[in-house]
Amino acid sequence: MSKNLLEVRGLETVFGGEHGDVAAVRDVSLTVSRGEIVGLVGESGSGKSVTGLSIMGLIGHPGRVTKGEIMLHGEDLRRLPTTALRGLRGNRIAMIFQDPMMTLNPVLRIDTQMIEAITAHDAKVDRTTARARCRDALGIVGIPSPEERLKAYPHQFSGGMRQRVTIAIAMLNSPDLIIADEPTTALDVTIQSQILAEMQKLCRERGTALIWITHDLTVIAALTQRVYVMYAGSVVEEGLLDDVLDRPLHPYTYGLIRSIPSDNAPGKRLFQIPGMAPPIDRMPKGCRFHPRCPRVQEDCLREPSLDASGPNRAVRCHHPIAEDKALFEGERA
Amino acid sequence: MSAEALAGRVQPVAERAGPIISIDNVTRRFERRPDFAAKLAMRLGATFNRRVVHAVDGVSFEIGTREVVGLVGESGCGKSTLGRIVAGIDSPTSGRILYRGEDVAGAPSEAQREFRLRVQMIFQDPLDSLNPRYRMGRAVSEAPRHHRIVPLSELEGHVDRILLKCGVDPSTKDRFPHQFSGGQRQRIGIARALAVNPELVVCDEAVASLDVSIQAQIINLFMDLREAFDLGYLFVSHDIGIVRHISDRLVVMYLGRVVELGPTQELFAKPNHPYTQALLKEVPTLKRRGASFCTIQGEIPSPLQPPSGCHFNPRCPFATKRCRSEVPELRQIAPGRFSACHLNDDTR
Repeated sequence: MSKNLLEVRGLETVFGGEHGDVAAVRDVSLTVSRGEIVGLVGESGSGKSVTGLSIMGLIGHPGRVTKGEIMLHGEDLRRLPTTALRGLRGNRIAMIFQDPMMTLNPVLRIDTQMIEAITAHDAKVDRTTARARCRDALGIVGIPSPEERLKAYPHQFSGGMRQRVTIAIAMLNSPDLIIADEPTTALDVTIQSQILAEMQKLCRERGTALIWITHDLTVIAALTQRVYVMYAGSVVEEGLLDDVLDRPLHPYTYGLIRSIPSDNAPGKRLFQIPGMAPPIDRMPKGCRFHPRCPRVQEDCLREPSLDASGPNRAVRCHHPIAEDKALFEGERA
Repeated sequence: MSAEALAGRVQPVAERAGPIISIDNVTRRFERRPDFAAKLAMRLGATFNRRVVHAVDGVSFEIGTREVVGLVGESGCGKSTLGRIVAGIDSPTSGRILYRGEDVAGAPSEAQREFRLRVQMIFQDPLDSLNPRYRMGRAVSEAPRHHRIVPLSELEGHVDRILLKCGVDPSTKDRFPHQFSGGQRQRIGIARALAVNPELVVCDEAVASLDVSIQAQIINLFMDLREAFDLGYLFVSHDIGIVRHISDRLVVMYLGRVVELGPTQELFAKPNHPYTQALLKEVPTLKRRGASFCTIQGEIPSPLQPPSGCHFNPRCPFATKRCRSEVPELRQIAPGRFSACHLNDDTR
């Protein structure tokens, strides 16, 4: 058995439409080990959320996973029967969504929902014990007076507190892996940083692995250790956080980093990637980034593969940016 | 009045001095009115809890010609309400909005009309603010036609010119809003605002719903248009990185009040108010790797029951007895810099 907790190989997820199947995710491979925080970054339509849902086995009609392996503890989740997968979800793997109301039932009290999450996976736990575990979980994610808050309904919480509740629910059964899909995007910076701090602590103390899906590179910088950059359904670059942010290889990653306002050039024009991401049913031939790429050449019409250029480092580009080119050298805070 | 006469009356912006807009002690309260049952209960001697929200509470500042003012704060701090008041969509409960030194509320209708044209607004979601049944060309040309911004014969050219400046292909004027991408729709929203030659554009979270690469394009567009049309902006946003990039001056709001105001770069270099200090520390940037956050404790309190004294005192690490009882005034602490904190008195 490998040291990786989760290993996804060659994942492909397609959605059926009027004009046949279109692939939302193509040839995505990723690994996560125990206690590791991995970032999955991309813009809307890049396939990052579909990747997360595919791992969870939550792709519904008209979508389906058509290729690849999703190995958790060396066991392929795609081959598991539905009941076994259901036993894993919310127990060994959990997911946190951008909108907490996707997780919470608006007409049930928090304690009802939390206790159910425990007893659904372990019928032997009695209510008092389950309740105590729920109260502790709420305390850990920083909800004041958890005992009273257990009796509240979701609408009695603020947005930030609701998101904490869903994190507490995800943590309840001490899962091995949590997939978080933009959980702080709708929150204020102060609340966001509180939640990021909680997540960091939880992963450090419990050894929970975390896949953080976001479009926000600054959150990735603050939270993660390793990054996968997705564009138009595929991983275009992967590497350790510092390598990707300081020495990006793919022109798309480079553009994305440069287009974020930074503190050193206020009022200057931002770097901009021309055009926009292609729609899923009209993907360009060859490299999918080539119509927007400043480094495009003739051979970019041939599809590039994700080539490793070192341990923990790979890029999907015929003409990657030279490794020695540092972006923020000497500027690090 | 003929179109030519109106066009002649409108002076080039650069020749006018002074602030475009002065916000003078503006307060906006939202109140729950007693419904029928409550009125009945009151007749019978019950007390009714009025539940007044001070969304904006005694705010004053100015926006100069071609100036970009950033307005930041957490959700519920009243920044959007203030933006809407500046744009003339909402009116203050008390206080005045001065356009070029004249009170807008008491002005003759002609002056009010000019104010409404000269201050335009761009919204977060352009799909919500564009009529889905209007073709794009009509959405952009309707206001300049109605207000005779240009003679009717030149309208087409005027609209095309604005669209081109905003990066929209004029040949797509026959399309409906849903046929454009998010970034294109925001460009159309901007073009529509610019079609009546405004001096000030209020942008309420105008780039918040866009992807990073598109966001950069729109921010660049904002900066180009500022040069091209001598525009000022009131940039309302929760994204401090973007506000820092684009603003000349920054206004920080907390629970309806301005807590700090000053030139953006100075304010970032040396924030004065404990709230600003904490807020700026929370902003994630590309350079802060694996940061362990030193978070502001707790959440923004409910505006229905704001804390007494300084609104920030329950979350402030330096709060004293005085902060809990006395409201701090917004006072000048350095040329052009203002802060509302009692701590500034102690150091003197």
